[in-house]
Amino acid sequence: MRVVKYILMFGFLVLLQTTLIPLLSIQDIYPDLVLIGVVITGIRHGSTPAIIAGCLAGFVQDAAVTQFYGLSALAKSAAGFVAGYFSRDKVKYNFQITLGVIAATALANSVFYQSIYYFDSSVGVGWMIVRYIIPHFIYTVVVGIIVNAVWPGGLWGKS
Amino acid sequence: MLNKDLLERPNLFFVSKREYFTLIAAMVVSLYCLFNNDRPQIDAVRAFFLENYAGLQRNFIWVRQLGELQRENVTLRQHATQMMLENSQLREALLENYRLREMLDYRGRETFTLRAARVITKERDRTPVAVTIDLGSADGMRPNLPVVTPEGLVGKIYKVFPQVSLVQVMLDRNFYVSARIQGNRVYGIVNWNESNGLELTSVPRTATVQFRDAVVTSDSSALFPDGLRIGLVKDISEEESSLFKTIILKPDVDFSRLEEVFVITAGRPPMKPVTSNP
Repeated sequence: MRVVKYILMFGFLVLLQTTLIPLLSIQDIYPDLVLIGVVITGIRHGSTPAIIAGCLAGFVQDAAVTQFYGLSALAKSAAGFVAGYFSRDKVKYNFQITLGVIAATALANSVFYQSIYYFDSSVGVGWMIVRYIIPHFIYTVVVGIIVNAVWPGGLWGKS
Repeated sequence: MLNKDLLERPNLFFVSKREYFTLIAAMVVSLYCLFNNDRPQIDAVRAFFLENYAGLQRNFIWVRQLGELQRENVTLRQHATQMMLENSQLREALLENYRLREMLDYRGRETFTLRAARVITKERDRTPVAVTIDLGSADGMRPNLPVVTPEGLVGKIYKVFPQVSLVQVMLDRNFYVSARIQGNRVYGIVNWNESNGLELTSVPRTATVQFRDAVVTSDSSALFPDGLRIGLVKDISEEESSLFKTIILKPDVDFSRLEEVFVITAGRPPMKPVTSNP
């Protein structure tokens, strides 16, 4: 039952990511709602379910790209591992911790994704960090905080 | 007791470190897919995810389009007025052209059969370098067919699945198209560069190129028909050490707002001339 609930949640997030979220893009930078789903899974159930969820959701997102099939899956698996490190079994809830979890997860995802995506391209490391990694990271953290406020039970759920 | 401990220990070790094993397994699978992008087995996995994903998306495209409608309406009215004015001039030119062709007994230019397609998904995170359209092998799609909008060239079909196809957009850095300056037939290659954007490269320094010159596909391209609009010259730079100019283009197509595209499926005989105004 719990698995079905999470499949539905990720289906809903992927749907939002590709329908509503593009309308919120700023200079081609979108927040990553699927990543917030990985954070929720990590906090509530630990690393293992978050890695599996991140990997599968990544494969779904990767299906619509021409190259690097598996890159999102790789980045989100790493993000799931990081999110699970701060699961509610190990860490007590407070706002700063929530902010830290979202930030660490978003950073892990961004660093993995962007550095492989732009590896062997003409983009310099500095430009990649300033143009893609930092804006993507900030936007995802801001949206994560909003989701934490409006999602039933917040990202931590009932402990 | 000792034997039981020894038997249980590997199991305990696996359970206590299961997140590390899961991470390693997920990374191995992801990396395998990453390094084997073109294998048929990977294509089968990708087809499974893409067809289901696209099937879900198909029902919710209207949400994405909602925010665009008003802006699109204004743009379309402007275009319609502009087109009406251009059309009357083109009719005159076509008639004149037909008369001259007859005089020279010149073979007519090929025109093309178009299939309309809806964009179902776009690659997330940035201006898309790939989009999925709702036509697949069941609709006669095949790799390398050109994809266009009324504004100009979008890209080409990259992979075909039964119900959907993946389009490689011109903004993909692995996409190259042979092009020319429309006015003076200076030839070059158009490619996306993350630092400069869309570039026309391999243009000799001696060639005359001006700001706002139109760049179109060239007749030497094996995949794309001649004369499809690509963009306008936005910036021209020359380096002392280089034999070539660097020409930066402003694309004619707004790739961030792709909703409908056309696939050029086949050529057809030249159009009959318009003989009278309706």
